[in-house]
Amino acid sequence: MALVEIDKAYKHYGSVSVLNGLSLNIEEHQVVCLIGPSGCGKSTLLRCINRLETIQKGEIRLHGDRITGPGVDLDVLRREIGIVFQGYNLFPHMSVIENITLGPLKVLGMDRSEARDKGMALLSRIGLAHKADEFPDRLSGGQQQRVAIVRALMMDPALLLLDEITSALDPELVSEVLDIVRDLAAKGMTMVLATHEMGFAREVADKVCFLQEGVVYEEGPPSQIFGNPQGERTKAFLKRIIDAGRL
Amino acid sequence: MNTSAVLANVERANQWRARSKVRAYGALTWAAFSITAITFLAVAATVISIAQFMIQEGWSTGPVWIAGLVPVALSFLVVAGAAKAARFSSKARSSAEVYEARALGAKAAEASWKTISYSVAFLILCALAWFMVVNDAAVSRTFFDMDLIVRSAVTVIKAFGTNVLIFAVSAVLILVWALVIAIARTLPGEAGRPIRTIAIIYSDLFRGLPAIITIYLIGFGLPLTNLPILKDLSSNAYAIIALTLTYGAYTSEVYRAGIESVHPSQIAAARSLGLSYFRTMRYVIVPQAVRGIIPPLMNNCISLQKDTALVAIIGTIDAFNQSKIIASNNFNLSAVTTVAIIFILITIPQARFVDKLIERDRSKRRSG
Repeated sequence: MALVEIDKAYKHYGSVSVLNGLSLNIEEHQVVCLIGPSGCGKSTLLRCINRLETIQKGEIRLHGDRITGPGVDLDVLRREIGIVFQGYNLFPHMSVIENITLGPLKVLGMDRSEARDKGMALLSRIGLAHKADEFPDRLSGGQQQRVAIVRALMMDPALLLLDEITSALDPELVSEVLDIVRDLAAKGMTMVLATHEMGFAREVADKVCFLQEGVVYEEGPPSQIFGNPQGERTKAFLKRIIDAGRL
Repeated sequence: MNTSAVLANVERANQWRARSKVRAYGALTWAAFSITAITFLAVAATVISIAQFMIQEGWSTGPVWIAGLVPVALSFLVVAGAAKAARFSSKARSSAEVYEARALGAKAAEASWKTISYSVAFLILCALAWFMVVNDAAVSRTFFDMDLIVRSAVTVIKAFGTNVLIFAVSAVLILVWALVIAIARTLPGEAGRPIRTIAIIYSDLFRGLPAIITIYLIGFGLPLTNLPILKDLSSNAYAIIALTLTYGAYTSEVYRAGIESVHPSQIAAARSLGLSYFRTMRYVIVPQAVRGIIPPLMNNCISLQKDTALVAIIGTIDAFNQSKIIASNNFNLSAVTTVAIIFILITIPQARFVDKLIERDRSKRRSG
């Protein structure tokens, strides 16, 4: 049984349909990369998985249990599924350590010293222990995004969603964030990434999904998608990426 | 580059030099000089006439004339400034060196505008001075009877304690009450609708009602209702209730603006950690909302201090009511001026402080 099963999900905003019966399985310890043109539904799909958005038709299951439809405890669901956003979304009125311990303290009921120890351990792992008491606006974009990843990891999620986490970063800061993701992948973290970093997707993904008009147009191992794409649209998309010098 | 292109460039440069002339601002400096001269005459005439009036009223001659010399001397300095501007201008016209001439011209313009603006300020002050002394100094006698102001000060300041009390208690109540209303107004979803609606009706109603009417209705109405407890409160308590209801409505709007100014991505981030709606408000949204609204909250606070004077209508002996009693006993409004002065002394520093906060906030946002 896959960790997450997405079964013919439909989502529209007014008359604009974003997901058109999209189906996708995410296995445990798998890194899935979602690629595709802007507006193809990558971000929406991620936000539907942790129920920041609601699908109108179809079904999403976690551990085989349906998490769409009424009556699902969203606060409990979101402990299982962490998300990191393109714009970091750190809490600007809290220091780094307060940002990352808020969830454990208030949601998991961890005690203060334990939460702090855990936070400091994770911060040291990403080389930011010395920034623990700084406020987010004193950190570079790359540092902020690393903190945001730690904030999600503090909840020990079963699945981590990464929504274009390097898109808002200056080019020279991208690698420090990707290093962490690489490290997490090596440790067996299950992750779904919406990304424009094709080189990185090729390197780290177990499965790459090319999304087009709200469905998975083509999926397969990176060697297939990037080396020998089958669909016409996948080929056309990759050609544009290569022409732009991004792969 | 070919020859014709080079020639075209030379032509273009010549055109630029021909157009870019030195400006000496001759007309402006003359205008400035005329205005300052007229102002000087106006100030002198005002001083002479006021001084004569004061001497006639029994002030001693020497000090009055010496005090009168100060504005005359100052307005003469402005004339001197205009003359200096005129000199800069003529130097600019005669200077052979272009850059130096431009600098002189710029100086002439700058100095002229400065003297003009000082002159206008002087003329406004002259007009005010005339207003005080015309009709045998009717205005000063009515509002600024120094003797009565000094005599009434202690009594009025004591009564001002009532205003301070009403203000302090209602300020605390308002801060809490308004936050409750603001959160009620921003409750999400279908379930929140009835509460939201009530909160909207409340804030519309009390923002629409003039504060003085609310105070009147509560201050005179509640005692008539014969409701237990509510009918026996002091008039201070009625004033506090009325002001809390009125200002709670305004302040809840300030809070709401603050809450809505926090970017939705912050809610998404907090909810994604598994925080419930109320915890998200408590730990993430409200703390950020409050930061941005300190200046408007302070403005409401100043406004509340002033409106404590409205409680005079229900017979509370606050500073205003006390001063009205003194004023009618003496048939002179100067005691009320005392209250006015107290309010001004208290609120102006706060208003300046708010401006500072806003300015600091703005510069922070610019740099960040």
